[in-house]
Amino acid sequence: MSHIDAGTTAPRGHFQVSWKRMTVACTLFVAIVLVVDQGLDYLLRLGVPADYRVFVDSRKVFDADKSSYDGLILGDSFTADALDPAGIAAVADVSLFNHGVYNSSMGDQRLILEDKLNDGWRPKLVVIGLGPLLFIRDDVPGRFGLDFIQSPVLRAQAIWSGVVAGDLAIPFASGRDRAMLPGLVRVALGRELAAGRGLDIGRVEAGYIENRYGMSGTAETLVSDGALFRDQIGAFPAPRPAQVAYLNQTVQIAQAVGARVVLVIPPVSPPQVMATADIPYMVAFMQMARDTARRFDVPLIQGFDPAVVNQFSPRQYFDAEHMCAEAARLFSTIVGQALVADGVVAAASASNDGAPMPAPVCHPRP
Amino acid sequence: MSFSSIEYFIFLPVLFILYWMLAPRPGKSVLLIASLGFYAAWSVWYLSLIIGVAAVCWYAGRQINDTDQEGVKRRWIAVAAVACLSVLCVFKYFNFFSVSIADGFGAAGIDLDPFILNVLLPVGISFYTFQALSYVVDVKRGSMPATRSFHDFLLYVSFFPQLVAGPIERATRLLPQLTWRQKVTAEDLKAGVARILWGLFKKLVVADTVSMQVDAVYADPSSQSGPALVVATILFGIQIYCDFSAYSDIAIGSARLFGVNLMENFRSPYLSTSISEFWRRWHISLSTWLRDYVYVPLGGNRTARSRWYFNIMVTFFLSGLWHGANWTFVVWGALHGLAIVIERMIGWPATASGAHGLGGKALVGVRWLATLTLVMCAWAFFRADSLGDAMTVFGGMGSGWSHLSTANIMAGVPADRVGIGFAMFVAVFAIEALWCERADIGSRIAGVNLVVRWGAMLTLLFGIIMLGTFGSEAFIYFQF
Repeated sequence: MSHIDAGTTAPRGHFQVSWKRMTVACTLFVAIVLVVDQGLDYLLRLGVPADYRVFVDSRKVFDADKSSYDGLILGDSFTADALDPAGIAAVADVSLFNHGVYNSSMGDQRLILEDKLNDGWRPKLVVIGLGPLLFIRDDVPGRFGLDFIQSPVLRAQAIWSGVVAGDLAIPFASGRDRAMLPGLVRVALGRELAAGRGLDIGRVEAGYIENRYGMSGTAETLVSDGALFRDQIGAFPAPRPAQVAYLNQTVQIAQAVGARVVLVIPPVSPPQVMATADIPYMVAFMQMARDTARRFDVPLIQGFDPAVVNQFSPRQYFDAEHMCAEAARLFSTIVGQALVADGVVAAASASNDGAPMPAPVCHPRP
Repeated sequence: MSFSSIEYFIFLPVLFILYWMLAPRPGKSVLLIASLGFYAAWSVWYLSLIIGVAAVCWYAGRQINDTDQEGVKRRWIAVAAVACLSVLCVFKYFNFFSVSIADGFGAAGIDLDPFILNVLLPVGISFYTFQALSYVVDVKRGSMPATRSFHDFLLYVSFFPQLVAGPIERATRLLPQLTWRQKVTAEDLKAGVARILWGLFKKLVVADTVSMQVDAVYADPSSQSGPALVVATILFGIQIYCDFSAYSDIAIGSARLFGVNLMENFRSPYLSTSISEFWRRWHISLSTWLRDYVYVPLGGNRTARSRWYFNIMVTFFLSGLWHGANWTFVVWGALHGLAIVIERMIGWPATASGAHGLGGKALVGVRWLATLTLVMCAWAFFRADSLGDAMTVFGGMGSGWSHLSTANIMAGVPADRVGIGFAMFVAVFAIEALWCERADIGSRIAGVNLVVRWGAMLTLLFGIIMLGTFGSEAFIYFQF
């Protein structure tokens, strides 16, 4: 230890640095990192796309009254925009919470379900919305935000999984969703809390986030708008095996606690359904959904069925893939009817009829 | 264990504390054990290769040092060269030559099954063999005495910051620093940490981000549009600079924490106005190694003009081959060699110095653009999986320009992510060109006042966290 000087003056040996000063400097630096990180997290939260922010807030709705929900809807933005629990409850005797997370992966869905079960909550029904992009996103749990995880143990587990997978940003609050950077810029520029792709968010009830705006363009506009989605899925021959494994685990976890599981594939806009029909990934994705339904003996509500797709118009879509509120109400009714027809839940009783729901309207997208 | 992995950022501070607490003598042994352990994280078995190469070269150095007979010296230098080059040939080039010979016979109508060795390429083999061999040559030349300590010599060959991808250090420079005369100051620590952060920023924010586009396009160049191929090739030029120089930055920064100064490996190479200048700024440790141990012994430029050009071509042919056992690297090296030969023939000025007036500066600008274009075109050979793919890239560059769109260019990769990576490269390029001419970025950051220094470090750290692309830990030069 002759070369270590515990004092504050620089020693003359080989190590010409004061250990004490170095320790203080390192501690101070780490403290500043944590404070700045939390500060950035706060700013980012203010400026994140409104749909995501509203979702994060909507989790509080669930936690405040979770015993009143019979089940959970899991999925990414396709599902978050497509399934309106109130619309389902209008025809089926079930109270669901839509927990769809924008840009999430199938691994995230498993985390969300585990987290809810960890609280002691037991669902009767778990609806898993299968969006094609759920199965090609990066396999780093928690990458798009750990906000939906309450349990400290699960949160630590997700952070560790992310770090092991090479994402060193996971432990930092402000780094969890790097797509939020434009939000920070908006805050810095003093802009309004703009939405990202949601533009204007309507009501949030039971976790359902309403998109008020619909596509005002034509079928051709939608096909053009959907080129990015087709490029994304075109880069993969089939769903990633790890994400498929997460789907299997999610189904097993739900079934292990006695919940009924239903798989739902929300339809993209009719022109996009046509444009993607021959893409090998979509064929493999549909086959994967059918195989999973058969393996676990669970119903599969296929939104890409022509009989379903033909009920929608391009005007009812926000973009080539995401429904606006009007289409979501219609699709939720279809799903509710299918749940009743499959015997998963009973039909809504006449006594359930409360005040009529306001009709959702798709305004032209500004 | 990669420099951008979580394991390294546990390994480095733990070793730092252990090393300085156990200084002087046990600390050096800790550094040696840690260096060997660092390599063993890739392969325990290949550790024996490093130790074997080091043992042969160390012993050869002693024998050369202890004798006055030129014949004995030559014999021992031959032993060291055979040991180092045979390791390289077996593990790196055997399959390449075997397949090439079989292909040659195949072209002549004689079918031969190539004999393939089922071995993995040891990480960093080209770096540590060159480093060990140069030591023996330096002892033979009388540039330095042979070291009596195998412990010190093994540490010189296996010193972990530069073991896997350089810089290729000279024994005359590194060995004396490893014989425990080094000291570390607060300035070293600040500069070392800043340099590591700078390297991580270049690797994670620039190189790994733009590589998304490069990988997507080069995976199947035949199905890409011309704009996509051009953009991907330029982005690869950015990727390889930010990837390789980032490794050097982290290596130099890490070594500085242990009181060791490694040589600079890059000096804003994309500012070059000739290919000759490019090689004075790019992978400096390799280009000077080849100059001192290949080009000069061949006769350099002190010979007939035709022989001079031949020497240049041989040197660059070896430079290409050093990078990898593939004809793409050979062609890449040959292109650079040919460009330098042409520069010599037409008297192309090697640097931008002496340019006066608007006309002179405009001419320098033209030379810069021409050099950059040639360097970028040559990268297509470096990146392509085969010569066929490289030709497909060049063949396809002219098509698809009438339908310019983001989808046409980006090949399904998010344009905003790649755009951020490119914008950050512009920032990195500007800072290195304007601020780091006289001192490296670590020393520059260490030299400013506390508020600016910590502000810079926090900016780098949060830039990495928020803009970085994580998950790909490998550096391109690991394969060499």
